[in-house]
Amino acid sequence: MSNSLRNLSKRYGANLERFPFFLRKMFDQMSREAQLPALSSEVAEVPMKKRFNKPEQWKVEVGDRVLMTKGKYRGHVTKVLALHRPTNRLFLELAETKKMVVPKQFWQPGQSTHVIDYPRTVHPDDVKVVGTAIERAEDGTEREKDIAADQLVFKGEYWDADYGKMMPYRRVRFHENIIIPWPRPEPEEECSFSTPIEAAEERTYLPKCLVRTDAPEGIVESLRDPLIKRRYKWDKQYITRSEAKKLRQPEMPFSDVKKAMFAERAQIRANTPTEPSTETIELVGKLVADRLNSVTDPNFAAYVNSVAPDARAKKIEAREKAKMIHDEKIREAQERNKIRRRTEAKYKSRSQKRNGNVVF
Amino acid sequence: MSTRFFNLNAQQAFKKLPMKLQNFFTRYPPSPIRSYANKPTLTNAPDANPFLSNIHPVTKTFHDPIYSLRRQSELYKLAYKFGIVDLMPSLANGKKLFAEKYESKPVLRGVLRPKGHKWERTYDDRMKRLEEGMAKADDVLIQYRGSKYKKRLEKRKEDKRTWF
Repeated sequence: MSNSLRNLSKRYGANLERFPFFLRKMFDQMSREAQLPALSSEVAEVPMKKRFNKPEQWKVEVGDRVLMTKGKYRGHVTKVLALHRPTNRLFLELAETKKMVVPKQFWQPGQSTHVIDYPRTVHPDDVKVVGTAIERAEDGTEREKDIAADQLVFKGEYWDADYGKMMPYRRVRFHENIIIPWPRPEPEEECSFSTPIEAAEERTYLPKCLVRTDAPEGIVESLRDPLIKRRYKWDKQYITRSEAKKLRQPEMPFSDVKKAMFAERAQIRANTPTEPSTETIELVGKLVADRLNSVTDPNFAAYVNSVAPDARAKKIEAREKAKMIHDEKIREAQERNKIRRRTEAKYKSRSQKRNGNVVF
Repeated sequence: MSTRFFNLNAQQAFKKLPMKLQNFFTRYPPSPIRSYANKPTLTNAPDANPFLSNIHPVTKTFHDPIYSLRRQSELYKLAYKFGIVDLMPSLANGKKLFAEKYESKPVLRGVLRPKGHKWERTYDDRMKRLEEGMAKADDVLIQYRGSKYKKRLEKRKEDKRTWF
């Protein structure tokens, strides 16, 4: 049974996604042991949530040229044949194989033995995308050169008509001006059941009015169950307070009561002193001075300094000073690097003139 | 030898207070300068306590205290640390904090006079009854066993051996 159907329905067995990880693992192992090896994938299936569904996650598409970085064919450039979505892995044109016993009902046309060589899948992290760069020589001749992107970044996106969706620009990290284009997907073949694009895009309905619906009156009610247990769910006869507030017009201008309230508040605000009086300072300050001048506990003194109003400003000042020193160090390092690069380039060009272009 | 960390005058000490306390004393000067009622008053009264819910003169409704219970507690705790808790207006329902709170708490009845187990409560009575019963044991036996037993007892007393 397909995984999606099992997820959708409670009827066709337990939904494994509901179980804790270790139980899921156990069930998975049990089902694996019971299955023929030909029917299960070599690598365990990834849970639905962790499956790749964006081009940024896959990094490659079907038809991409890739450089293999692991396994027997390390260093070979090959092509992506298919994405194996249940395991987040790739089928490649040139791949390691394993011997597998296939039951007769799965035999391909022309097959004569039970044992076949079945290709192994590869993780997208174990391949590097290969693009084509045009190298211009000094004499003006142009030459195509393959480049493999060590790391990729995805910045910006565009509408790809062939894929029928927005696709991100695939750039080489640290050389973001180099874009490796996505491969063109193979056009889907139409069968007798497929609807032509023109038929699907044809507009067959235009609403007459945006306010009133064209549907006949009572059509929505007729679709509902008249014997529903809790009919208030759709047959609401009341509106809530918040709904009423949204529907009601706000009272403008303000009522006299509200105006009086605003006036009172303004007066209170005007009467509230903003600076402490000298009497207050003397009275409060004397008591506080008596208390603080007798403090002998260093922890309490540190606490008093930390809650004092100027503590925050001091902290910010110290942080800014540290940042300035840090920035200055970085600037000096950059200057040094510039000088080093300049010197290296100078000596390199001299040695090139002497010895010719040496490739390491 | 103990070191002192501060040598401040009144102005400097006031500036050393946290901003919360400074703002509070700016708006509500302490008691000799301005007095505060212990009970709810009108909101516009000159001695309206900012920690109590006061009544509005026009609408006759109770307004919430200007400082919420959380802010009141914050202010009180800060003032306690800086030794100026006596300058704060009184809290609602005569609420106290820290040592004062524990001193002013009424002692609970259970703490004063614990109930105890039933055997503890009846111990003295039972002991008294037991002693009385032991003292009167002979009389009771005589009452039920008759005069013969009384005579036997008397005889036993006479026949009791002594060292002399």
